[in-house]
Amino acid sequence: MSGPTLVRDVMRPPVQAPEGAWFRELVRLLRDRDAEFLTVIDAKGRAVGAVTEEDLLLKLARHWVEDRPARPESASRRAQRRKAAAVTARELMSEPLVSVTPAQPAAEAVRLMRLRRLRHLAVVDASGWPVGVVHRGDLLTMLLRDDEEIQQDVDDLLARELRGRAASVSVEVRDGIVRLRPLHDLDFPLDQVLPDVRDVEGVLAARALDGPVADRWRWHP
Amino acid sequence: MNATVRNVMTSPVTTILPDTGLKEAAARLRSGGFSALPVVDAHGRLVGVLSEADLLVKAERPAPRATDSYAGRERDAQWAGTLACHLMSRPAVTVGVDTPLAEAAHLMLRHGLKRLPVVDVAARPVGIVSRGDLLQVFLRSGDEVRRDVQARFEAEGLSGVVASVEDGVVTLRGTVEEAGARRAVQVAEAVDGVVAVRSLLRGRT
Repeated sequence: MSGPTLVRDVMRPPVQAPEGAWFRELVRLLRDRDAEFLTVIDAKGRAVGAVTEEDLLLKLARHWVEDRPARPESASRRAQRRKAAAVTARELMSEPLVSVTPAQPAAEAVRLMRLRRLRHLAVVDASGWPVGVVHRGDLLTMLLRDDEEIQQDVDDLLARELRGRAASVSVEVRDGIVRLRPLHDLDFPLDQVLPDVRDVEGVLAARALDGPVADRWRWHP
Repeated sequence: MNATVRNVMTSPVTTILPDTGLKEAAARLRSGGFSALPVVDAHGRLVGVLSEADLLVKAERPAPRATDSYAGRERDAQWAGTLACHLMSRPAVTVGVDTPLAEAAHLMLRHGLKRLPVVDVAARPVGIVSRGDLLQVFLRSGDEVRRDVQARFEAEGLSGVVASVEDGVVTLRGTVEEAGARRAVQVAEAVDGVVAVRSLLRGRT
């Protein structure tokens, strides 16, 4: 079994913008580098924030963004108005930067994107230098896994985590969805292994069934 | 007049039919370097949009491989039987050639779309416009922007205001009524390619 896909396996080279760069320079960078995401760097070259194509588009739609402030104004709405009025990368960027390191499993990047509702993540090394960017679309290739392969990985995982008790759990994988079912009453909660199961490559969702066979159709989210 | 979608869209546009198979659709996407294709009916009217993202949803389920297992053949059949109309997004969010760039940008942001099909009055696609296409308006030359701003000031009777442009940022100088100063900022902000307006106008007393 090869190791899990890492962030460095799926990242693209970073496109960097100095924090003092003006709006038009950012538009030009995106066009010339055919990019959607800019990593903003400080004078020392460390990653401090991010600017996306969408952030720049707010400037064009500023009429809508500025004219109808909702009350009370949400944090995201306030950020939109700030970005629509911004001129430099520093004013425009989202910070603090949400980032991953090249050595992290790509599955963690997927989870972080889902959690923060992001389409891109900056990749920075241990000293804070930008080394890449992960696009959500690029990660979809990871999902091209057979259920049999996923099943094997989940079996291995349970053997490691539950040791002898792994034999008391049946694993069913269909269409990337993993269902764990106790074969008889367990002396531990099956829920505790779910986070790790969800991190197995190719897993779209994982659920633990409540009790033995009789309860098999009662799902826990 | 400000630019509209007509001035920045990619045209003509490659279209596919609702019963186009996914493999062919993917091939057309790739060969044309597109990220989405309008789907049209037999009369050439837009019925949906098939994007890379829509195809990727399908790709989450394994594509057919050279395998002789029953499961493999079943997957083959599933993949082969999926047509553009099964995966496309509809109804499509569209713009016309005369839609202002700002409105197109607003639509993209609100619906989280990277591109919009451009249709004529009969709902036939005539082009496609992307986020990047819209942003190009900010790359107009400073001279052009300044001329436009100044021309609108003339039209509004704000001839006392002098505009200079640096990297898309307009600076206003001169002496005008207080109401005129406010109006001058609004007028300048509405000109294509203006990133921001800085007013150094002095109010007449």
